[in-house]
Amino acid sequence: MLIGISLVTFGILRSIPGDPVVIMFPNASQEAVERIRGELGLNGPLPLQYLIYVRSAVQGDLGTSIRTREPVAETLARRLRFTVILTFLSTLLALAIGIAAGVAAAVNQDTWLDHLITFGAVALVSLPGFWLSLVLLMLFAAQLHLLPAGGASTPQHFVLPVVVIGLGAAAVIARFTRASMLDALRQDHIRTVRASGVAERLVIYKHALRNALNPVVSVAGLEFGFLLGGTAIVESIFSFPGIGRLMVDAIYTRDYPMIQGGILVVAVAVVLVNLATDLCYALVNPRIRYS
Amino acid sequence: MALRLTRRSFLQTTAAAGLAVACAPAAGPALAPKPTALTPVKGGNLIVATAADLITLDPMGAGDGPSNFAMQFLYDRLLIEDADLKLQPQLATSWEQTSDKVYTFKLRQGVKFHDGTVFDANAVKAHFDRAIGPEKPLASRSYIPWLEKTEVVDAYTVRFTTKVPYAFFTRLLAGISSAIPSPTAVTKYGKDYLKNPSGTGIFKFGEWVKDDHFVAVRNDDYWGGAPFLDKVTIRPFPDPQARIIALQAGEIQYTADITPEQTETLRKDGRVNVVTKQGISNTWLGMNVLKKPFDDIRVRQALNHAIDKQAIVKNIYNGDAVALNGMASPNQIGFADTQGFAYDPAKAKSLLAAAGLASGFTTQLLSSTRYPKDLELMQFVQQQLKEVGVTANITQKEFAAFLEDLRKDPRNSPVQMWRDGRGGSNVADYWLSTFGCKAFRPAGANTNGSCDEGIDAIATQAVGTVDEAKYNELAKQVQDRATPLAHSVWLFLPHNVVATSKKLHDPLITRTGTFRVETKTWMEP
Repeated sequence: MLIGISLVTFGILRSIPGDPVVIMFPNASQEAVERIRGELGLNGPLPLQYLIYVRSAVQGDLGTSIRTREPVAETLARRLRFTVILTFLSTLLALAIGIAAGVAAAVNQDTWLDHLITFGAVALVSLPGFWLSLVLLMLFAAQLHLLPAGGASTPQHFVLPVVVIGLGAAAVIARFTRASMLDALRQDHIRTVRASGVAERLVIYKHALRNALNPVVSVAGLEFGFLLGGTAIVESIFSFPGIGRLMVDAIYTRDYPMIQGGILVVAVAVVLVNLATDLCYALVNPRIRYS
Repeated sequence: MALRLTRRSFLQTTAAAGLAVACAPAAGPALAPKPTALTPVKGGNLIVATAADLITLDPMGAGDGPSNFAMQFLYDRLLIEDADLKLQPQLATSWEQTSDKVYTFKLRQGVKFHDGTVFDANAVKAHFDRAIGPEKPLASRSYIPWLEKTEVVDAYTVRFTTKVPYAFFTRLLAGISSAIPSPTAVTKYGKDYLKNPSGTGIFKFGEWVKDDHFVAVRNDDYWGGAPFLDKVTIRPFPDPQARIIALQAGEIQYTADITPEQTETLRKDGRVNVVTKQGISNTWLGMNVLKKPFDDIRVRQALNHAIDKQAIVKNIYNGDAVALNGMASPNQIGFADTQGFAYDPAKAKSLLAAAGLASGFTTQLLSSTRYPKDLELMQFVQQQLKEVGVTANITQKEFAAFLEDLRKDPRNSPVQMWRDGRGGSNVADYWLSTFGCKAFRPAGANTNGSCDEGIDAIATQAVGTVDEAKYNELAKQVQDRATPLAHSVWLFLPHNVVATSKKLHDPLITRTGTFRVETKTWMEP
């Protein structure tokens, strides 16, 4: 799969218009452009360039950034760390809010609380992340001076990006939890448990929620994987040095090694997250066993 | 001492505070404290925002704005431009031109690099030898065409010889790539020099945490006296709106690249100073003069008359630009105001009719997504061209794809009209590199396909003319002859708008909007 991804990425990148050297030096002479392209190894036949790339990647060398002249692996390691922390915290927040809201909505189906939560979830899903980011920045950084406007050097820097990303994901999780809980609460065994006089709190949290969580875990896993590569806009607004912003910059500047390396790393991370999600099913629901 | 807050004292305090707030607007000026002269204080961390992280701290590897910006703190050059862009000595104490190709510089004595190496003629020679040597660092392309050799005359005298007479050689020495690094550090660290940069600047290298911040700390041993500021921090803020919010929040004290809409907002903000300066990067509409109908000068002149540049400046750029009469702009050396093309749609129509295009024509108008106001600009141009019968179909491309289109040889390029914007410090070089016969793309930067050997000859003579008055006369001739040829629709020069916190005092902002920190720059606590 990774070879397929690397091949597709390489092919797409080399077929779209734009030359990294020209972007760096728009008015450089063709002679200078060719010289620099040669230095960067961009003048050889494409299959050869790909083979060199794969051979190096297998040995852990993802090449050197065209724009910064820094080893790609070094840059990715530095930036991936921030994105993983951001994504992890956002997913935790999303799970906490999303599951609580989803359960509350399902248990209080068709009441004002259910309508309020459903409306809130739709509103949060519909709100553009960049808009929410700017509003929160203006409020908490410019007006109240409670939180910093950008960067990632202290825990406070993580608060607003985590809230923006976490709320968006929480809305999705809340909707899934509500639907899944409603389904679980209608199951025969829940009726039996209730009939046996078990307290309603235990019915909901011990019996219904455990059964309802499997699809929620799937969604949370998918969200986590998506966020690993999909937080570019929020990262840009909060000046957050994550991998999403790095990839956007790399695409604009046609920094081929950086884009190829970034996509490869994100792909590996998503595979690992999916594996972890599968393992989580057994934790959430002990009836699931892996042989 | 512990404070006891009784119910009565609380009520008294809140009532007094409420009364004060209620009366404040009415009392206004009478109660306002008298302005006092601000006394510079030592200390402070000046935090500035850039659109991207820096890439290098090696003057010979320079190219991008954030790196150039950071290096000004660490390094000195032989010469430096003052606020009016006049050359002043920095690491040189004096210089003279002994022939049309030879320059001799006397160097400042008693200066040390941050690593302790003594600054002398050998350090200067090492830097410029590297510029034209086999290593060919990125900035070498600025030196190789001109610099023949650098010689050490004595410990504090250095002599440069150029390959040909070049009017702007001293200007080249004032550029950031001419900033002198410690030869010891360059040799000792090699590729790791970026982690151990050493200059003679007013700040020393502190740390560079990639993607997060760069810090330069005060050089107490600076030859020009220690600066007031403790340190300067550069932080990348890629989002323009976030930069403004950070400035308003007091998190940064300087930012540039401000859009016209943001300028309006910031001008109303009492915490911020907005400084507007004319830049040097002109904006025009390119036309491929080798293709029909733009090969007819009457068509090109008609399009120049068809567009109301003053309206563009007023309505799209909120006045933060200046309309151009001709090919050059006021901050370019050798600028001479020429009679341009007044907005006159009737004249445009008659010129089109004279060219056999009374019913107009259809063309493509190419622009990129890089500049925030470009789509508005293109739509405005489209509307104005329509009024004289020209249908312009706008194509907006992502910047890399746009550049790819523009790099084609104008003789074979399918591009008809496009938004272009470039500048140059002096008129003659600007003409030769952008519109000259020998600069056709892809070898050079001439996208228009314009070629006038007569103008090229004058511009070439000007580039080799060291005498300022004579240069200006030749540059005027270039403009007088080039502007009426209307190789492009000369549009406007956008202003460079920068904003600083009102707590920041005495930075140097040059005539073109370049921001510099000096020893006298200080910040209120």
